[in-house]
Amino acid sequence: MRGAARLLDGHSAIDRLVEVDIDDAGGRLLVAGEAIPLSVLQAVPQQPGTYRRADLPRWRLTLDPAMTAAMQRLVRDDSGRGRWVDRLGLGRSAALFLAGSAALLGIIYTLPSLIAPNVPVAAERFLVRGALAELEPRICTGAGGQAALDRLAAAVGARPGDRVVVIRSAQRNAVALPGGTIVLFDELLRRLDSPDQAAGVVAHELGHVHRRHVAEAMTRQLGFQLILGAVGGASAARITDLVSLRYSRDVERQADADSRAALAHAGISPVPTARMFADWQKEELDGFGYLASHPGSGERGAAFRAAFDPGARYRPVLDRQAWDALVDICHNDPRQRELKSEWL
Amino acid sequence: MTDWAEERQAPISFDGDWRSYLPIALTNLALTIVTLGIYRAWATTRSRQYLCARTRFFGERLEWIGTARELLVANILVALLLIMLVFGNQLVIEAVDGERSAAGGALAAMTAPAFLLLYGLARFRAIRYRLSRIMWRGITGGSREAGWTYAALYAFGLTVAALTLWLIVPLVLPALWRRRWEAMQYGDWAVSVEAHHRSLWRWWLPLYSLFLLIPLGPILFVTSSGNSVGAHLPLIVLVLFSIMALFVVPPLFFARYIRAMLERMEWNNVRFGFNARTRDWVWLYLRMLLLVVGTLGIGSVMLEFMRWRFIVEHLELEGAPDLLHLGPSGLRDPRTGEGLLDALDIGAF
Repeated sequence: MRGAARLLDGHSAIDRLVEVDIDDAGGRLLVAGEAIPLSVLQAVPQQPGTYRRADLPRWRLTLDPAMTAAMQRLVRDDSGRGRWVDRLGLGRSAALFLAGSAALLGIIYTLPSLIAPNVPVAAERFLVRGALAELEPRICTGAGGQAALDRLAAAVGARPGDRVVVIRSAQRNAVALPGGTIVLFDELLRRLDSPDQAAGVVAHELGHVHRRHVAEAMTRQLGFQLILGAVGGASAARITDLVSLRYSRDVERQADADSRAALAHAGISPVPTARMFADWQKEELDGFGYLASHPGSGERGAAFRAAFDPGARYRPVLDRQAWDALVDICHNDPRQRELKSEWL
Repeated sequence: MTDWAEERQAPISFDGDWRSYLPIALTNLALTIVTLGIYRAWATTRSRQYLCARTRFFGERLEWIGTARELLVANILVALLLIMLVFGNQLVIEAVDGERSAAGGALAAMTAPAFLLLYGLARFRAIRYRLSRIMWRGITGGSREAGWTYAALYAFGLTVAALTLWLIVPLVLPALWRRRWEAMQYGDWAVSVEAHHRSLWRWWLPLYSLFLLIPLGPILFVTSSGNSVGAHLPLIVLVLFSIMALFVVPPLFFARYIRAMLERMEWNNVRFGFNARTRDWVWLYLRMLLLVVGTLGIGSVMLEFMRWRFIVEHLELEGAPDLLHLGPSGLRDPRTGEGLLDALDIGAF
């Protein structure tokens, strides 16, 4: 089939009108007398009728519309979607990519729980030693408070080397830091009405520490960031957040179970802790369950209430005097300034 | 495809429409999600292929000849580089005993200028890469330079501008614009820029005084009346300053700056111009915002299309390129894409 075409040879910006002949049988295209094998010709994406040569990157031939249809039968159009997508089709390649992504995420998700127990605690401590040093002067030292807290922690299974401290903060929270330090915010203590509740909280955080949850979370976060951050951009960051949130809810349940076991072992009633969750539930907005990092307080309280054993003999973990000293540990320590920021 | 009768059209035009772009954008989004972002390189390439193919420059369509693979490689290389820089820096700081020691503090203080340097480099290389991949009449462009000098000037210029509380912005920005565009060429023709800062001062000085004076209002009010809001004064002033610095001054200045810069650019007998005014830009960004919010984020796939169309529709070209004296650039093309730009999330304009 013969016709006209416009040729840009890549050396000059001036195009030439040339005669072309599609030699179907010979598998070649004659352009102004020059024979070009059809195998080196490629369609230019989004520019129907325009062809390039694999061996000459700047060479462009734009065919007369009448010839385009004939050419399209010989040289396939390029959708620009990528070779795999073109070969497999959109649906099948999407399914394949999805399966591959799921497998990759699964690996990153499970590896840290295997790696974490082998990360030395000293390494964890080293990574956050700046933050730990900053924490040190903020620890409350009101008279008798630390001794009471140490006794409470020992009762619920603190091991040698574990450290539980209180700092002043308006947040109602407790955290297990990398390196095994447990920090209670004094606002939390002031909102509790029994030392047994504090025991439930400390036992929960000790669960995180002893199971190396922090190292696991840090390893996992790092893995997601390294792999997804390299190629993914913003949407990958959101995936990372969601996955690590989901992870932390499972881990919170595990730490709660550890807490109940420790309370039972120490002969401390789980009912006050159940009541604490019931109080928190009243303050919570329902419906954000999936996006929250902890399971709902209702669910957690119910589990503690169910752990109550009518046949057991429970006694308070601290006497009145020691509990008062603990609650007032920051109040009795005049050096403490308000911690305003969420520094961790 | 181009036919000869179209030469008398507008020197630059865009004939894409959202109906034909949307299927591309949506498949791009879907594939990017299921590949955890890896497909983004292909998505970008495909989108640019469309946008270029629908743009005519003096009657002839542009063509995006960049490949997805080179973008992916660039992204991975740059991610590795940035991870090494950030982690390496952190480890060294830790090793020399924290930020409070002199050596550690100095290293920590160097992080910001280092990023400024990379930022400048990214801008330069992005322009160089894009010019080398946008083909017109078999011709592409680029730069002989690698961009390090520009990056150094960029870091220096912005630091000095910051030290003068941004007063000398009309001096620094045009100088940088001129430096980066004069390093560029398309085909064997260099781009020439007459970027002038004099005309910008007329706009900048009133804006700058406004920027300083408006937050001054509450200060005077509080100090003269001894009002009880005095305790919140620093916060109020900070908020006002931020609003001015982010939402008032840049849009008012930006449109004029871009116009002033492009009006003095020339390439191969073609004089550039740009006719978007502040209200056009505001309207563009407002539409983008409404689209993204109204579609719960999915509309963001159309932003690149909207931005491209906006720029093409507001570009003004005068004269005609001399095709007889236009040859290949003779440059060695950059082998990888604009990874740094993506990693630092910046535009190339």
